[in-house]
Parts: sequence; C-alpha cells; structure tokens
Amino acid sequence: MWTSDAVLVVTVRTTCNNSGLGGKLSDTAADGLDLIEKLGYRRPLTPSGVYRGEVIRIAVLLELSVGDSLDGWKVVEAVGEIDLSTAHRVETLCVDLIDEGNHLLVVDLRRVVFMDSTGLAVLLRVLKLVKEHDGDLVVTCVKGPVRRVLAVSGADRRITVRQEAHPDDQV
Amino acid sequence: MVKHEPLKLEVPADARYLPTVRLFAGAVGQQFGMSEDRVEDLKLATSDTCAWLMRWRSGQDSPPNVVISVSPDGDGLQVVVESDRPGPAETKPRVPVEDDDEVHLGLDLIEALTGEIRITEEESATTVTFSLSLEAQTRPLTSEVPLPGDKHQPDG
Repeated sequence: MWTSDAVLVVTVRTTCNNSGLGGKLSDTAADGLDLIEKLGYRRPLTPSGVYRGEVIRIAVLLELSVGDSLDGWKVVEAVGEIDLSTAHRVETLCVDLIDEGNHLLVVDLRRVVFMDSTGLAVLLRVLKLVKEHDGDLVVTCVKGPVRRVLAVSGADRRITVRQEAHPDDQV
Repeated sequence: MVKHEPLKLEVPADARYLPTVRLFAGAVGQQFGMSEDRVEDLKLATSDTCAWLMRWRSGQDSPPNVVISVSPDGDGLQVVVESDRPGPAETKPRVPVEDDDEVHLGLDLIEALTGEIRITEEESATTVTFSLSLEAQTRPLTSEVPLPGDKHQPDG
C-alpha cells in the first residue's frame, strides 16, 4: 500500500533546439528521470518522445508503505525525509494501524536520509501508544543521520533499534 | 586572514522550505571543509532550529521569513537563525501545539550536538545562535536529551 500524497517536485528547464534532433540529456537529468521511473511515475515526454532539457531539482520528501512480517508485526517503511512537514504522516499511519488492533509495529527507517526532533517525538508517541496496548515498537535504521539522532537523544535506550526490518533479527 | 561575509538564506517560515534549508546548510558545511558526519549535524541543527521557529508561527497569521546566516568562527562555523517576530519565550502565551517537552526537544537536541545554543528575544524578533566545529566530536556525548515523559533526576 503506497500513500498517494507523496510530494514529487520536478522542475524541467527546456532548451530550445531548432534542429529537431533533441537536446542531449545531462547526467543529472538522466538520473532524475530514472528516479521518477523508479518511483512509479511516468517519465515526462515531449510530444515527439524526445527528452529535452535538464531536471534541475527533484525533491521526494517522504514515501510510506505498510507490509506484514511473518509473525504478525506490521512494518511501516519510510523512504525520504522526516521533518516538521512530513512527520505527521508517519504518526497518522501508525495511529491508524494501532487503532486497527496492530500493536506490534516496526518502523523501518533504513531508507530515511534525514529525521529531526519532530520525527523523534512521533516515534516516542507511537511507542507510548503501543505500550499502552501491551505492544511494542521496533525501529530499524543503519548507521547515519537517523541513527545519530536516536543515539544523541538517548532515544535508542528506550526504543528497540535494529538494523534489519524483521524484529527477530539481531543488531 | 580572509574575512568571510556570512552566507545567507532567507525562506518563508513554512515547513515546506525545510529541505531547502538543509540543502543550504549541507552545501555551506562542505564549502568550509566540514567532515561528512559534521555536515549532517549542521543540517540537523539548522533545520531543527528553523522548525522550532516555524512551529511557533503555526498559530499566527501571515508567515514571516526566517534568515539563516553562516560564517566561519574559529575552527568551526557559527550559525545564526533569525525570525522577524517574537519567538516562543517562556513568558509569552504559547500556541498550544504540543506538549511543552516536545516543543523543546529540538532545542535540547541542538544543544547536545553543538554544546551551546543562545536564544535572543527582542520585541520584534527572535535570534538563535550556535556554533559547530568542523570535525565531529571524538568524545562521546555525555549530555543526554531529556525526552518527553522523562522525570527530572537530580545530578549524581
């Protein structure tokens, strides 16, 4: 299940090419277009089917998906950045899952490249909620900015942090 | 010694601009030779400072701007974040957005990363200042951030 309100900002600077041969795509533009396709969006095409121009900015803020693990844990995977503008979506999704009776949650942050204190506060609130239902929360992340936030704040002593999405895997 | 003028970015006090703030902070950190880990600290501290000011704005009309200035400071960088309206001082009425502990979690986190954070309140503006060394701290951080729900424990 993919949430539908993820933000994708793409700015394309069109170059004029009177020869009709199409502009040569820069590496940046090619990477950007590849990313668009990987995320399931359709590549922007000119009427002739020739890409012209340069993708100068792409911002994928946050994608969320929900899956099941074998032993009944719900796995919320986040991809992107969690900050003041996106953290509420993580919280809403987790609270909805808890309300549906899912009290064993894994929040998979291995593909999150940034998380601030707003995201940290959400994790702590979700932990509190699942504990109220005798459940548990496991956060998965690798070494990097997210792991550092959890470590510096001391939250990793309160929340179980692992490197793999399956809650039974060892750190 | 070459004197550097502060590098500045001005954005609306809107959380949608936080990724732009992080791009700016990351680029400036790299420009001045910060280590990779320290660049991440700079992005986090700068973004969280802006978020703290922006969150306070959420209950007010027309969003003001936030100005981020970064300049060399000894063996590190000094970051000044200014907002052209009063900030969430203890003495002022708060916008009841969240639990107080959570409102201050960001500032506590910045303090843990930088060692010191200075907040200047004036009638028409709030300024937050902190500095980061170019290299990441090698000693383990001993100051743990008081998390929401923590009870105050006396030292010792």
